Amino acid sequence: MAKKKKHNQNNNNQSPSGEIFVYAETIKKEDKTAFHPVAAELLAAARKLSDDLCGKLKVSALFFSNENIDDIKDELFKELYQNGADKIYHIKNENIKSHIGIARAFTELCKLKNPEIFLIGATIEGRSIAPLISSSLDTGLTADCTKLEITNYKNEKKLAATRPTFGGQLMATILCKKLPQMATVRPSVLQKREKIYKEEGEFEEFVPVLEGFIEPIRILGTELNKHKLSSELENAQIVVAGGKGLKTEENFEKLKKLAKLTGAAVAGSRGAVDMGLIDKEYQIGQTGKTVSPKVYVAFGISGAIHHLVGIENAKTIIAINTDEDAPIFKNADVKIVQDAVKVLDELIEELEKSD
Amino acid sequence: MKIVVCIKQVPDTNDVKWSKENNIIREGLTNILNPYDEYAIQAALEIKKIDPDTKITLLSMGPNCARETLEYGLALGADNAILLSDKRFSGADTNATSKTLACAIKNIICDFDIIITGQFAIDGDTAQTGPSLAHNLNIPVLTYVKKILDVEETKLDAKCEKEDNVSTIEIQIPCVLCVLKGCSQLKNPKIGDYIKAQNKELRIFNADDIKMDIEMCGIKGSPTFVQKAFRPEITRECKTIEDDYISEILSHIRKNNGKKEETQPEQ
Repeated sequence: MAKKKKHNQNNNNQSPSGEIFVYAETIKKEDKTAFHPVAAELLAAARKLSDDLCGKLKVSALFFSNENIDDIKDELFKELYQNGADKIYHIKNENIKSHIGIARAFTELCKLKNPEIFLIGATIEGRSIAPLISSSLDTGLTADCTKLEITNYKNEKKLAATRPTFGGQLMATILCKKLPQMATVRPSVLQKREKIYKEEGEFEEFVPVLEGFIEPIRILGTELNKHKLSSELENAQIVVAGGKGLKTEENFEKLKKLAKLTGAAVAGSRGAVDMGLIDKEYQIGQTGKTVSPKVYVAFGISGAIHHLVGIENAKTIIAINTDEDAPIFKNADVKIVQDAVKVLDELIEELEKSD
Repeated sequence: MKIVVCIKQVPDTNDVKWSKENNIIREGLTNILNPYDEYAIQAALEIKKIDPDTKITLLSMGPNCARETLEYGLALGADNAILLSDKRFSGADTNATSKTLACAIKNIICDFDIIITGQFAIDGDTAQTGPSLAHNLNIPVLTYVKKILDVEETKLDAKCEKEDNVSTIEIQIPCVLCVLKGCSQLKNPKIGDYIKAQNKELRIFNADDIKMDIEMCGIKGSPTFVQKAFRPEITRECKTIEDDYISEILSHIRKNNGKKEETQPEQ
């Protein structure tokens, strides 16, 4: 049972002096509570940071859910240990209904445990709670990091958080003077562990006091996103994306058709979103999503740097553009100087023929 | 309603030139109103349209040239503007920025109902200043606001984007709203609007004016600092395909979609 407290510090009286907190965000997946993929990615990153400090820091996963998870609790917690957690804090308080309540609870736990580092996924919820927590603790928060490492700074071991800034034109490595050193990381930027870390670990239930707290928010209703889970794009193996070069909605329909024929996910550039060709939820780049598919095919995307930030981790980038000097070619593996719409038509024709 | 719209002047990041030493050349860089903040201004104006007694104050922190952005906001229809400008504010991270804005709101603006700001600024793209501002004012915040629905005296409803749904949320006033693009209808000011704007009040304040503790603002008051900055490396080797590009694309796709992998490792 996960509820048991388990000590793994028997042969060593020098127990970890501090903790790395990781928010293990949950989402609804086919009506079931599951972890957002970013949770495993953060746990793996925290594990690595702890290893770089010779295991000095314990990796603790923060778990909160409003749902009834009694029947899947053990499974969920096991997943956290397997993905790199030494310890789980199960945060319980029925009065928490929103991101504001979650932030309050996490702040309370931080004040109690004084973690050295706190990692949060740069999801909508993560980006909403992280600044509330960092401001409450009066510490620093580095947003949307693409790399986390430990660095020596004035004889101190510090978290060095690297992130794109200036629309992706510049990378900045940011350090934090105070504790906890907080950072958010986008989904599918870091890798989850390949190997299982362990099957069980420490566990603590935490009931925040939330003194004087009344939820200032009431959820009146929810409608399912007309698009499927947004994290689906972030986890796609193949992404076909369109830019301003596709010009019309009709051409975007062709792109969707291609996606259907190839089992790919559809995406768009900021330019295409601004032109109303595709919804913002599908936008790739600095102010959109980060993807790391095996293949990324860019149709008529010029490849402004803020777009490239979002596809940095794609294994193969195929770019199609009429402008042979388009910046995307500087960052692509395959360059095709052609009219994107023409290539789309030919691909669809070919695929329909072979079906 | 008294609305404060927090806006930011940002460099047009599409138009960046580099020096030989890999520094961004700031001279000649075009400055624009952060695109998300334009929707914030329009969202405030849409509230004013329903309730003409609404007063909209624009608030920005930045160098003197940021007044251009405020002037544009006034031309769009805001009632007055405040620029916080002081060398001691420079180098601020989101923590220090939000404290400075909160200080000005408390000591200069004093009375407000709703604070609206863009969800992101396209230069730093941290999305942190809005929520941090709410914390420093001790009021609640909604993020990723797609639409402001109903504004009443003590509460309002808004549609907010969440990870897997769109929620309609009621929040008490005063509050902070961080809005997305598309939450309002953009409009261009006419020449007459610019002329009208010239008679509107645009005040510039420094740290002393707003009674800001200088230990808490600017680079001094920022818990984070930049250790190093560098240009992203390009590591891909690009091959050009001229002839049989269709088979090239299809071979990459077919190699990788043979088995549709499940996105989640476990259920």
